[in-house]
Amino acid sequence: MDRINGLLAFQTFAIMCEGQLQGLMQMNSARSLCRLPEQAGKHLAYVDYVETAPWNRPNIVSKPRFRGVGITMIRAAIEHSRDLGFHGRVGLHSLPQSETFYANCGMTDLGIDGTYENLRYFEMTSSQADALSG
Amino acid sequence: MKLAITKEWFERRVKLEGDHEIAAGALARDPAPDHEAESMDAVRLAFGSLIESMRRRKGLTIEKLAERSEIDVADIVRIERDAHFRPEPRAVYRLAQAFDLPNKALQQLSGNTYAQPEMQEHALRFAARSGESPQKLSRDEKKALEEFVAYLARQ
Repeated sequence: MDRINGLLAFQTFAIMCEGQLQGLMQMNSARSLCRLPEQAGKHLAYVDYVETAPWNRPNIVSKPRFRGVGITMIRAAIEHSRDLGFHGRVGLHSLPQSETFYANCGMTDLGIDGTYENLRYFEMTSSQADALSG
Repeated sequence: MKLAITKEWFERRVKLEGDHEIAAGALARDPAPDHEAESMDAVRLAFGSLIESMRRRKGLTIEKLAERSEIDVADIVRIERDAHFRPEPRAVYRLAQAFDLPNKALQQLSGNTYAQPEMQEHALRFAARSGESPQKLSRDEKKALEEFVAYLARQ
């Protein structure tokens, strides 16, 4: 992450609580364009990386310390996209264990992306963003 | 950027998260466990048992061994009990001298150099046969120790 420090296209978000880092997200507004047919070729805010701290993950600890890190990050990604004038359009490649979450958020599943480590690609339209943030 | 999240929105939307993880992007991938590293751990475990057994056979306390081999007491404790602790080659060399064991084989056991599969097998068998009693070595432990030392000497 040192390499992108100060570059405008890479906005980084951190959630701090009780003096500790609870989640981290890196956006990239210059990586790719929309793939969904209805918005193909338009700009989007792409989530390069998002992760929550290990002690907040139900699959690692039986009692996660904080919930809502993920939904807060997605909301932040939407607001960031709006700020850029991309109307809440967001894209990301989900890790297999997180696919249900992005589907729950209302994002469209565009299937496994063979060009990016066989991760599933999800995209959010502006109306999906409106629905989630409303 | 303004992020005005109301409590009401948060409580309503947090349900979407459930027990799911939220990881995205290849960077979020957890490192995969390395099988080779696992078998090396077993070898390192045998190294700890070997040093402990040799020390007990000589009737030395950790303190005495530390003094004799000029190694920190804390390092010897960690060599014997913490399989993730990687001792310095220098410390391993001193231990080899203190116990009259082949340095090359000890470096392999300590994880400083690569241990051949056969060495791994012998080390694992030795680790499985050595106990943790702080008292004198039992006859079986002594036998296991002697066999393993003889094997190391042949290396």
